[in-house]
Amino acid sequence: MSELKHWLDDSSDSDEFERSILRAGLDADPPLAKRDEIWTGLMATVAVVPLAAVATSAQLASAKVATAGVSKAAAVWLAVAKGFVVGLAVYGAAQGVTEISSRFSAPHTPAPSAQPAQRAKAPARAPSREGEPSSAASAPSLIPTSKEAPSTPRAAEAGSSARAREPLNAIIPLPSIATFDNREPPAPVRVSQLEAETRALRRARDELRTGKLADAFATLEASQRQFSAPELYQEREALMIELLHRSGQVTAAERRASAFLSRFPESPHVQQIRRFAAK
Amino acid sequence: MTTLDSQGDRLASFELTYRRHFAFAWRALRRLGISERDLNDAAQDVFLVVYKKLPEFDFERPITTWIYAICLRVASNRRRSAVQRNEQLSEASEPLEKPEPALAADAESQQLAERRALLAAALDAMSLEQRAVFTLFELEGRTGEEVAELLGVPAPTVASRLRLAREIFRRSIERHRAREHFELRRIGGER
Repeated sequence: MSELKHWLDDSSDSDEFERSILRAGLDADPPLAKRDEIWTGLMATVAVVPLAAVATSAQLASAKVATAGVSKAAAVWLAVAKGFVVGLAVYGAAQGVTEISSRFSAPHTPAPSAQPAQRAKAPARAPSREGEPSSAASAPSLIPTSKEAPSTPRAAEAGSSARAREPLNAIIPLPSIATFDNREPPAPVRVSQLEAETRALRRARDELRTGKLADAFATLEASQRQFSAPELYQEREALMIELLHRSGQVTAAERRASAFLSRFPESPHVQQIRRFAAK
Repeated sequence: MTTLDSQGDRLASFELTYRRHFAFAWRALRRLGISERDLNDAAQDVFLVVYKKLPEFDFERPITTWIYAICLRVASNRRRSAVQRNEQLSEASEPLEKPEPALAADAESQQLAERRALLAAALDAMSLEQRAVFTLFELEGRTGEEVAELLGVPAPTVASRLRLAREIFRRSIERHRAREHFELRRIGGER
């Protein structure tokens, strides 16, 4: 296996045209914008979609409960209103139409011909005037309140809906985008440094692969000067070790490889670096 | 076996894994023949699997091997679906790197675009396994042992696949040369 030579090496049995075709395929790295774009998509899939899916079904369920509650409340409310109208009619019969109208009309009461219409409107205003005489009178609210007796079916349904909503955040321990955003250091600085570092390392790697060793050294050294606290330290060091080795500085490569291995024993580059460490 | 204990560990580890290996996975998918328009989806598929399986992953094993295996599976599934839909996964006309339209007029860029198209055509002629070995060895610059480790196959298998893949590559280039020669003669004959 070790006798296999890469076709990009000048000493291999490939011809220049074949090498030029291979070199054309070296740059297949993604733009950094892609990495961020896909990360956003991933976070949306991993964190938001499952949560949203559950939330939607829960919201549908609670909306159903609320709708049922409203229609029941409306029925009760109508019944009370009807009862009130009947009561008024009876009272009107006993006390006289004029006295009734004086309770629901402005001081300047219109002609008696307008009274039936006013009477029809009266129940709608009655509950607010009389200050919530019954629980049914407060029913027009779309959201069931906790004041309602839990023994009523609506209260029980509302309770179950609240229970259905409550555990959503508790039972799904998936990350939210906000969680990730909070953990990220200030993005623009980090991304631009990472981008610049990536670009420099990519250039150094291509130079190394195409045998431009001096250029690769210059690129890596420039990167070292530019980024004193690099995000891609391991990657840079791995390239430097390979470069030292390929340029004949075997002892220096071995020394750096050993230091790398003891410092980053779990690095993804361990396998590659081991090749350059002292046997 | 070293695994992740908590959700926080999992998220931090996932983010680090993503940052560190995204470019590797992207290159792998591209070189395994995922077309430009499907790359985003394919990369997302890969890292969704990484996210889901990360708590079970044994961090004493090389993570690149695992990620590459996921890339291979995703590429294989997409290739199968494309065949079922009677499509070509990466058209020979779609090179690995599309040239910038503004630069396409430039002779050098045009030449680069042609070479990339040639490479894409040669890679398309290989099986997925041959393609994986060839791209890892020749383009990613891995050694035979590393390719064997990444693919989880014995070293002789890598050597054999590489030999076959190189033959396919050469045949494809020869075909191109023959066509070019024929074209030149035809044009010469017309004059």
